[in-house]
Amino acid sequence: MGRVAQVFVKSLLKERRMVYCSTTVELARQSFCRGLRAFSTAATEAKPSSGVCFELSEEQKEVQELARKFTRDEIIPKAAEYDRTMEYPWDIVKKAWAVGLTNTHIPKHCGGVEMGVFEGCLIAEELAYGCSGIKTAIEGSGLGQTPVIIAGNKEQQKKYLGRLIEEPLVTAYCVTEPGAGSDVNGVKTRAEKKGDDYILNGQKMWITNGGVANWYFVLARTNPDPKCPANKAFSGFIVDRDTPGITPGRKEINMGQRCSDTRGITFEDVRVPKANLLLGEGAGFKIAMGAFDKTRPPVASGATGVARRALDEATKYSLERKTFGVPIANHQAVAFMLADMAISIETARLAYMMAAWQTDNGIRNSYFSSIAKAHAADIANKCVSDAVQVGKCNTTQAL
Amino acid sequence: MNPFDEIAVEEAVRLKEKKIAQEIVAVSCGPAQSQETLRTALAMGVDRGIHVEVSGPEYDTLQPIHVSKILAKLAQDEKADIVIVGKQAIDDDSNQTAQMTAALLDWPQATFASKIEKQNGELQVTREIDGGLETIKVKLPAVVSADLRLNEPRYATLPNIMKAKKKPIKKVSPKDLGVDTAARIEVLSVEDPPTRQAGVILPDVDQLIVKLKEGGHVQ
Repeated sequence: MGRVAQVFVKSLLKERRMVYCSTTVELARQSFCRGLRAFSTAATEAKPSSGVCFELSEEQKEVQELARKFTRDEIIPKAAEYDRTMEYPWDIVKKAWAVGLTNTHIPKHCGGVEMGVFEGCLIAEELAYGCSGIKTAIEGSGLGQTPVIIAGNKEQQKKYLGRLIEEPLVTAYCVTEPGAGSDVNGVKTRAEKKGDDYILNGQKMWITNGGVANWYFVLARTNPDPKCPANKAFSGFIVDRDTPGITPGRKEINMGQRCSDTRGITFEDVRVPKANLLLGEGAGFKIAMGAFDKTRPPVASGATGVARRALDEATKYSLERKTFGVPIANHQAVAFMLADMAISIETARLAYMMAAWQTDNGIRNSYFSSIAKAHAADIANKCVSDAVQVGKCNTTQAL
Repeated sequence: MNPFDEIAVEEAVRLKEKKIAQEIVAVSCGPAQSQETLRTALAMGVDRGIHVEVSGPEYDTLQPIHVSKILAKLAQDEKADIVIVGKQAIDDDSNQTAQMTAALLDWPQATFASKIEKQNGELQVTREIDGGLETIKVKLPAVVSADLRLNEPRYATLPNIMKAKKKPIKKVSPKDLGVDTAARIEVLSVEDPPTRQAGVILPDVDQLIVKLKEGGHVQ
């Protein structure tokens, strides 16, 4: 046992009036080591928890209230129009930027407010309550920024994140390709080193904000050897939109979230400077996966917001519409559907809050964030479908 | 926050931005939740807050007369030049606080303001009255009450919400200000309005006159 540990053990035993024997020494040593671990800066260690709390803090309530008010006044009145025209909701994105509801994770040294994933989730749920297409337009930019926030060096952060604070610009996250979605390992876009630059060639698909972004995060294969494992073969780059060789495709018509800008992007001999490589060659896969841990909770919270809207619209309608002399909410079949919707929304919310809290407290949350995202997306689908059943034509209009 | 008070806070912030006002102090009388309302005001641009703590049964019988006395005392203590409030609260619709505060302070009042300008050390206020718009000049210090069309309140932006956490909120009690909050009213009963009776569709005007006479509504 080291000298410091010895002193600690002796004083602890004296304090607790314990007999100096092998058992008590071992207990004291363990206590000492636990104390040391609490101060450890290892990234995988959890910060000491002060116990679970299911109440939002005052600041979180204010953030939620701001997002709720913004949604009520700015998004809900215009949502139907944007859904019809499929136009990118620039004026709402700019207003949200002016109010501070976007870019909430940008570090303070770039001029941001550096809020946690939890607060981002609260905002996302409220925005999605208004319109999930508009929420995606705003959140998709958050996804593009996350690799730079978690893996960028100070210069990259100042340059590319600082830019977003100064002007209402958006970003995009370019990983998915026509042949690779869930299978990130299947990404074929290549990045070849030429002198001090990298030359990118390839095709990305289903990129949110692809046509309107100011810069992209692009995952490309730097090691052409097919035997090279995924966690060494890919690299992450920041690519300016105005780099020659980038061609966004046509805006895809989505079944829902129609005003969200989803496109394919072609990269033809796109020259990216070495300074825009994140972390180093081969770190791309780790960065992409790390980004997902941060961005799954807000997607889950957005789905919860959509589900909540479905419930509210269905409830409103069921209290107005009468059949057989009573509001249809009085009929058990309808009442049970509304109750089941409420159950699913509350559980989805608990799941995303847990996932968000974990990542904000330095705990790896891949397990819970995946649960939250899968669960929330499923219940959102069911809630909307049930709401349509409750409301028939009237609710379909609203949703 | 009461919507008319929100408009009043917005106007105060605009006066400060135009350099007409130097400092804005927001006041709220009520239980602990009033602090949240004050935080919203701070996030909109107010400099500091004063929370006059009134809770429980004392709060249930708090009336505009009590609030006016509290505001009048604070206006004197803080050496305020303008007291600006919303024209009425949307829970009781009293529309009394501004007027009573002005009377207690013996200050001029400009109520239902839809436009405020400063000219030569005086305020020129356009008021919304039954007949249209009336423009008056009031000497400072004065009490102003905000009407709906005075302005469109800004959002409290997220960075401002975070900055507001550092702004001070002082807590005081009505007793500290020498104001007696003893109840001056007694609630006798609270009832729903009577349920609307079904109407009757009548075939012609003659029948209508018969029915009206029967009901004693017409001689």
